[in-house]
Amino acid sequence: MRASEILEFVTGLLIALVGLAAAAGLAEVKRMAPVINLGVVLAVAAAGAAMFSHALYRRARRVREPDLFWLRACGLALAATSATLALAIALPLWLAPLGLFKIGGFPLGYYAAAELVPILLVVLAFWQARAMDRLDDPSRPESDPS
Amino acid sequence: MSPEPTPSPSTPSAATGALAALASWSVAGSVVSLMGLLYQLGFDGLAFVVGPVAGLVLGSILLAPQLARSGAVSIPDFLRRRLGRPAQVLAALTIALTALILAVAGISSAASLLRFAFGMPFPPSAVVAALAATAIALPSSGIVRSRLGALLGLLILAAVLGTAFALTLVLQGPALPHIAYGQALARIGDLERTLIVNGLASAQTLKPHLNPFLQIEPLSFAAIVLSLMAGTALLPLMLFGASPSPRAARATSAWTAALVLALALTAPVYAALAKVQFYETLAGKIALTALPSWLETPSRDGKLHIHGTSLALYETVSSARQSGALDIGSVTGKLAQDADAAVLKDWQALSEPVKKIVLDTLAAIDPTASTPMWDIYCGTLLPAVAAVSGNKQALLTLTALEIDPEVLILTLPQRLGLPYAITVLLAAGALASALAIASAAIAAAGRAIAGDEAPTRYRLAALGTAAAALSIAVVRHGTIDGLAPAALGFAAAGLFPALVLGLWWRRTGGAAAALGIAVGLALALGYTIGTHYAAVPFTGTWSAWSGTAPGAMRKFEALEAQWIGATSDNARETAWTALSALASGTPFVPGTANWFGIPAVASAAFALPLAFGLIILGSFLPRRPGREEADIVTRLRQPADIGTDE
Repeated sequence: MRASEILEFVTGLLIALVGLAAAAGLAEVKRMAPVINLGVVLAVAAAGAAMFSHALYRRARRVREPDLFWLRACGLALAATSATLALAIALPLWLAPLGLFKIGGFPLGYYAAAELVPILLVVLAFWQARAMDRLDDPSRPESDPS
Repeated sequence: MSPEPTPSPSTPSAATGALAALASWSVAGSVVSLMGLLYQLGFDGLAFVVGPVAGLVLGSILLAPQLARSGAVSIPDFLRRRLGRPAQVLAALTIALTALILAVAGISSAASLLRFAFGMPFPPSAVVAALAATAIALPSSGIVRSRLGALLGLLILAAVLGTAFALTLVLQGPALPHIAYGQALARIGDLERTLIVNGLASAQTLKPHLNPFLQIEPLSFAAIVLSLMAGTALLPLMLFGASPSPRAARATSAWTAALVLALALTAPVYAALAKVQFYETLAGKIALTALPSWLETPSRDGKLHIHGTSLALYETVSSARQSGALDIGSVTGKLAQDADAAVLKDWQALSEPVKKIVLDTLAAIDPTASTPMWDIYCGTLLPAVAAVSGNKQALLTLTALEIDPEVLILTLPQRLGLPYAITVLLAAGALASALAIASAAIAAAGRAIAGDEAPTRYRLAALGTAAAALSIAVVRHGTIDGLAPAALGFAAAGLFPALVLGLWWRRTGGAAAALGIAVGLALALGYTIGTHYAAVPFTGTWSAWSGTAPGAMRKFEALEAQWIGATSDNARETAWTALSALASGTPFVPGTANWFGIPAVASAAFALPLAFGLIILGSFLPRRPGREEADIVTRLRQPADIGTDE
């Protein structure tokens, strides 16, 4: 593994572990910083997981060049799955305190969870489908397995 | 390499497939049930919107295109070729079980809607619903079923969106419902305060609509979203099988998600508008002796309870009395023998003084007078029950009231003075949704039991599933709730880990996958059954893992002592009813029987990590992959067009 890959892997792992540790002792963390809730710590843990996964992906891509299509497909699936989990699980938990704020009488927290999150999820579905269609296209060099 | 199946010329287009999938998309029995859930749970109910939408997205990323790339036509077909026969058989069983439960939910929901529309009793309504769903499911050709599903999908979209625009037009003028309902959300808070200030609601029991995590804890919210997400990701594949190519699978999945978005964004609109309208009615201070006439039908159907009583209960007890049951004990015996399980449960939940009032008021009825039962119920029984329940003003209060939110949603257009045709349109959309779910589930069970290529066996299996679903719906009428999300949880627990790992990880082994499916499904089933049907012993056994507040646990212990120490059958029965209700809670909000406060509908949250862990660990055992398995793994790792050219 290259030094930059090791650095990214270790940093990501540490961030993920900090997020999980904070989730385990959430009551204490909330006492110190009330704005931090389950959504925030899950988002931190997910960011860490994304970072060390990216380091592994970089290494795999360098070492296993003939499997480029498969590596890219896996990377895209991993990134899109992480984004789906973050949008569906972490974001609604994080949005809850926004209910305290209203713009023009609209309660932001509820409105964002009910409208914004589903819209973002569907945008993600179309983005991923388009990216994967391009990857599956045989006229593109990265889809050539030879 | 095994031959690539040629895409059938009768494969539905992406639009048809997306519309059919939309029709059967709902985490409740129908789209109106989902709106009712949002009414009931407020912010916390959004887990039932976000989870399923995210599930469709997850399915389009992880499952549908890869399954199409493998060349398999269905989940069991893929598992047989990739992971062997035991995994295939277990997957088929999981799909059949899930589909049977979804069919029960769809038939129950459709029957309730037929009862609402035509006033038919439940059993014949359920027969009509089951016949209609079976007629849609019986054609063995997938394209015919898809087209029928797509028609139902169009009807649902027209009904839900059309009615939402009409309601918004009446309430707020010409505006987009999804933006305009922000005003209604703001109004709900004001009305909640008004109800509390006027003594029409209790500050302890009223759960403000917009405040998060009052009924479902954040951890449970995340668990429900996760469980529904994994279940919904599998749903289109279980119900309609695999697409002919990864590109088609991605197109269908993405368009399904886009169409579902229209429903997902509109469901909270209905919940908010229905709540505003109903709270405004309550704030007008309605006397129990002068209830609005639209409440009569739901009360007669057992969907409206005031101080625990309903017209359905009152009429049933009256019949029992006429057949000679004059005291509380003999009425209980008579109801246990003849009445609906739901009515018996209502009767058992009443306190002794209220039961006595019910019998006394029935005894005072003049048999020669022809006063309608509704008038006697409102004029005589309700004020007397209100007096012993502490409702001194004898007003209709939120505390005294328990109403099926679906009634409030379905009657909303009528109560706002919209033409009756709009109510009919909304009910038709809801009925289409329930029938689409039931028919797609019957077809899926038929395919899972009979295999993918046998029309006669398929029809027999579909008929058997429909008959079984109808029987369960009729026998368990009124006592089953939260079936559809529970079914999705079972599918997720059994299939998701094996399918994801089988599609994406070369090393996944057949024996480990079979073990993962069996253990995941068993854990989810065990947790659901344990927390619902054996809630009292479950609480005793797993109290150390329970996420219940100490106060509720103390109440459980006090009721348990009361039940053990009861000296009469009546007292024991009353204590047991209260104890089981406290222990089992509802499918969405757990009672004392739980692990870490997670409700039964999120059982997959426990099963998923366990099944993933077992399959991963088991797959490290040495084994030799077969030829077919090696072929399919190679195919999964190549671009789609290269795979099909070979």
